[in-house]
Amino acid sequence: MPTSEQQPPQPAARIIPPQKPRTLRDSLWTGLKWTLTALFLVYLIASFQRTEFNLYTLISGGKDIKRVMYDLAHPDFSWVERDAGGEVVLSRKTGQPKPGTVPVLLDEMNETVMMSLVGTLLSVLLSFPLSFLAARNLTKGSVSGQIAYNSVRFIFNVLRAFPPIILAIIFVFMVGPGPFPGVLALALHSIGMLGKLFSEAIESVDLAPVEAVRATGASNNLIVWFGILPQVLPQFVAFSLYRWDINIRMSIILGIVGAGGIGFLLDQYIRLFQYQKASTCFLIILVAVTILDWGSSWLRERMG
Amino acid sequence: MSDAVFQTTGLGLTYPDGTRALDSVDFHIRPGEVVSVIGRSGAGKSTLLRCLNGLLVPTDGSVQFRGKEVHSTPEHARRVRRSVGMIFQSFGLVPRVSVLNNVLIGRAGQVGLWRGLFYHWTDEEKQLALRCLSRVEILEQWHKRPRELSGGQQQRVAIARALCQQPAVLLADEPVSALDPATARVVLDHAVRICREDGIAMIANLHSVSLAKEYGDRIVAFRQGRVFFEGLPAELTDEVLREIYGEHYADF
Ligand SMILES: Nc1ncnc2c1ncn2[C@@H]1O[C@H](COP(=O)(O)OP(=O)(O)OP(=O)(O)O)[C@@H](O)[C@H]1O
Ligand SMILES: [Mg+2]
Repeated sequence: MPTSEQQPPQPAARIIPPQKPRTLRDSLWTGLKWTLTALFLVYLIASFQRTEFNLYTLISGGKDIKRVMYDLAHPDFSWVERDAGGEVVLSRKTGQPKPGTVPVLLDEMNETVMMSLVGTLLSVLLSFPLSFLAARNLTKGSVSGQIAYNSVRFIFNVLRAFPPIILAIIFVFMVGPGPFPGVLALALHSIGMLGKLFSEAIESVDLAPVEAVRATGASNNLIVWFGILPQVLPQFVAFSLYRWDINIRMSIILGIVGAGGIGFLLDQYIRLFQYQKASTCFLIILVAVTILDWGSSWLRERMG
Repeated sequence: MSDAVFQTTGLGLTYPDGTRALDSVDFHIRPGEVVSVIGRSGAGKSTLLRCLNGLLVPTDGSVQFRGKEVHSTPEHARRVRRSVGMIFQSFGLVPRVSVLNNVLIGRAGQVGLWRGLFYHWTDEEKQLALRCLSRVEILEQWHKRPRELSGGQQQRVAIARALCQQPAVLLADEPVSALDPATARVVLDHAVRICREDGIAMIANLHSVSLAKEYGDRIVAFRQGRVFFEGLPAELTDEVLREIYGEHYADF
């Protein structure tokens, strides 16, 4: 077809959308928006005053920190403890050299990881059965189901409402300092978190297979086992691994309130101005968290 | 009609929201019979099947399975379901579970809790499941996951699962609506052939009138929750079809 004879495409007529009518509600809304913005700005300024934000204080305080910075830049990498004269300190009981900062901290770091492992495992074991009771699609339609749903939901909400650090302070008070109160704190808080995630996964399953399994005449337990569990299991595993990941970091913090692990020593070193040892502590935490982070994301990818 | 597998008299069902889905339905099916159920969307076909296998409790009338009231107790309704296989438009296979285990889940009503929890099947059960798979000609896929199969293959696995129950009746709720016409025939051929071989009665809800006529010994048509027509495929005239599907019915 000869193109020269073709008409150039007509420019399309400009479309002017019909005017949107401006109602009283629109005007009120605009007024409200500006009022809220102004109020927020006032609150923001008040927040800077209340928190005593002051760049000068920050800079002048920086001078005192020179020694701290020097210590932090020279971590204590000793494998055995030495006295002021550089002599190896021997244990009075065994006669062996006393372990230095590095072995002590590695041992505490190990305790931290073990705490997170036990805490996470306990929470998975407990939230797994409970989460089925907290799933709306499994509990609606009967009075006992409704009661179970609402009470388990309530328990999950309460457990989640307490930050682990508060739980740890309470448990240290109850059972004394050490890793055990830390494990309890992690487990309780994680039950609330995992229970919510698990039950939401259950609520979003495809109901067609569930219906099909019900139609075989299976009991309710087996309907859940055959129809629902295969659908949610990969998510359950992924959530649990992710929770473990979070709990490792969390258990470091818990040590500060006396709940075992490396956080306990970190707190002590800082209080005693032993910044060289604190620096070693930071490094070990950094390395451990990085390795575990790689490990858990590798695992999670595998599960996907 | 004392030999009927299923027999309903004056069956009525009103959903909690007030929808009257079934109204004075008298329906029966004899052993080994294949009945096609047709009717416009919302006529009550799915509701009927769910009343028959006890998943829905009727608000009026009675549903009997082999002469005994299905809904006498919830336990009895469950017992009835064990002898009633069911297949669905969306197949309803359990994801991430192998084809063989999906078929074995058909035994879920028969096994105890502990054997079920550990997927611990007896050798006979495994042999039965494999035989069901081979009868729908899909044995070589036994190790795959459902999502690796085509729609037609998935529905054949669902048929095998229903057969694994060794049912007296097969209920099929729009079994081929999600499939292309050629695949639809393959799937229906398998289901109807096996039902005839084993003397299993079959009730199939179908949207295609031609398939309904072709595969059914008898046709039951629903309109607004009531049985509007019942008879041989040859008796289902264009006149009747227009009454069922409205003026715009063109031979489909
Ligand atoms: N769970 C429910 N709650 C309330 N009303 C329902 C429910 N299920 C179905 N209905 C209504 O009951 C009537 C019959 O529905 P049913 O599913 O039995 O029809 P159907 O013949 O199977 O239709 P289709 O061919 O679309 O599958 C419809 O009006 C439908 O809207
Ligand atoms: Mg339907």
